[in-house]
Amino acid sequence: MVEAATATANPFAAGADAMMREWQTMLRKTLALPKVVEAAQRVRVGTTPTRIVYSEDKLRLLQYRTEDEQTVRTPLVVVFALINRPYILDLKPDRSVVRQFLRAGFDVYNVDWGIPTSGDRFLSIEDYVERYLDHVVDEVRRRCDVDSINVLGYCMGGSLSAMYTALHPEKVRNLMMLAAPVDWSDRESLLSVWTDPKYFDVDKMIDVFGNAPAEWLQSSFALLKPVQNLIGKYVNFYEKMDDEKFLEDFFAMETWLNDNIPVAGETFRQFVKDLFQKNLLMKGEMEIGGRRVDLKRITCPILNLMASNDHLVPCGQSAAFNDAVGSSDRRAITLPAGHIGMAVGSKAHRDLWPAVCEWLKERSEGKGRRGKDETSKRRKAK
Amino acid sequence: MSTDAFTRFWTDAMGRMASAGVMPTAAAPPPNLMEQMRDAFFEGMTKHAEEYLRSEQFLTGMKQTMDHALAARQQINDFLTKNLQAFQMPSASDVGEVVRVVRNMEDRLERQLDGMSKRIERLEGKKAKGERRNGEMEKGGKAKTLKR
Repeated sequence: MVEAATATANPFAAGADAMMREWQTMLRKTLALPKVVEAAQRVRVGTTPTRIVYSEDKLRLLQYRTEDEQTVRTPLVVVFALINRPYILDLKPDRSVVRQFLRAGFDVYNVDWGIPTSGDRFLSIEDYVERYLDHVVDEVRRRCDVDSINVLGYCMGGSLSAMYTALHPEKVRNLMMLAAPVDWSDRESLLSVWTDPKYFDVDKMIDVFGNAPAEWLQSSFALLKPVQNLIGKYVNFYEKMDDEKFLEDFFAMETWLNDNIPVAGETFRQFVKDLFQKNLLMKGEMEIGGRRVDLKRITCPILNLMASNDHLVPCGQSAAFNDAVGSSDRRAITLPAGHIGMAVGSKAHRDLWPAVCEWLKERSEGKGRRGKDETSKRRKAK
Repeated sequence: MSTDAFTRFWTDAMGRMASAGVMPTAAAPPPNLMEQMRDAFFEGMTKHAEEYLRSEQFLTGMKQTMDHALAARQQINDFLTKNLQAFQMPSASDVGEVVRVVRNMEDRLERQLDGMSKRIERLEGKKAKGERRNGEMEKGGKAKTLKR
């Protein structure tokens, strides 16, 4: 006690103590270096076993295999963005949205759009929505012998899901939007500022590159939060590099973040011009395959999940969706998390996803019994 | 960043760091004083970086850089296309053209298939109607025969 009191009273002794502590920390971190290398080599992502149940061009529809009992008849199709890979929703066993749904008794499918090459530069939103997504939905309906399915759209995948549901309302039983933009009228997001036609000529870019290059997309996303992404992240890494659990999470996340893929040129052009610049979807003026996409045609139950600290898709870009649809059963949940935190954050997995599973279960058809509407529809069809 | 903007950022960041340093009132400084100062500095940097990334200065610079990068890339594309053509080899633009032709062909085929399926549906409808009418006529005939 006497020594401690002396140490705090004497500024030089305190300085020496702090230096000693720092020295010990550095030594501990240096000793942890082999563990860092080992953790980097050991990293595994997308851990739930899958099988391919449908493929078309580069698209693959994955069905998750589980030993959990399937108690829900209505299957769930996860529609991910065209940027990055879809395994973020099944990153690690303890941070897997997919496993949450499997445990709740759902049959879960994930759409892996594949990696576009130069031959795919002309793929448009129409191809993704009216061809690929429609074929996937039909395949799942056929496999599960149901008329309509549940859809969970994440980010850009949510926008595509909303378009699809508006065009085929009869095929979607419940729609969940996860950090999905639909309204680009505000300028809160830096992406909206950068894609202003005054500064960004998307036509020129796609004409020259063909597809939107993955490296360019990745550096743009990193620049959205430069201090956190280019400095803070590595400082944090240095501080926690002797914690094995942290290393495991860090490398899993880095693997996904660096696994960017290009976006098909025509789709990127349409997204920037029709959505970011003209906000046609929200205005009800967007056309896909000659048909107007009217969000009011969406009448199924809606669950809109938003992240209050989302720098990529601010809440303002998602919140308007609930007022734009024609559904009477609609709910919005905002979690204090970031864009990715909604999928992998411990808080989201503890508080959000069990509630989401419950919400969906209440609105889905149970195994072994058919809903009244479904039975009557089938009778009519027969 | 202009001198003014940099001075503003520096003054703000240093102010934040200083207040992070003088906040604790205990006899001894907290052990994470440096961390607090660093966090305050990062906070300041984040705020100013966000402002800068939205500024006219950055956006104009971004546009110029993009324009130059695209022009350079276009030159490389043109150069490669010319040389590949000289060697009678397909270039990226040739592949693009082929893809475009295939897509147009696919569209035409899809339109024709749609037209054909509509025609088949119409014919099937007519056939079903005819069959129903025949059935009704047969029923009517039988009924008449029975009556007789």
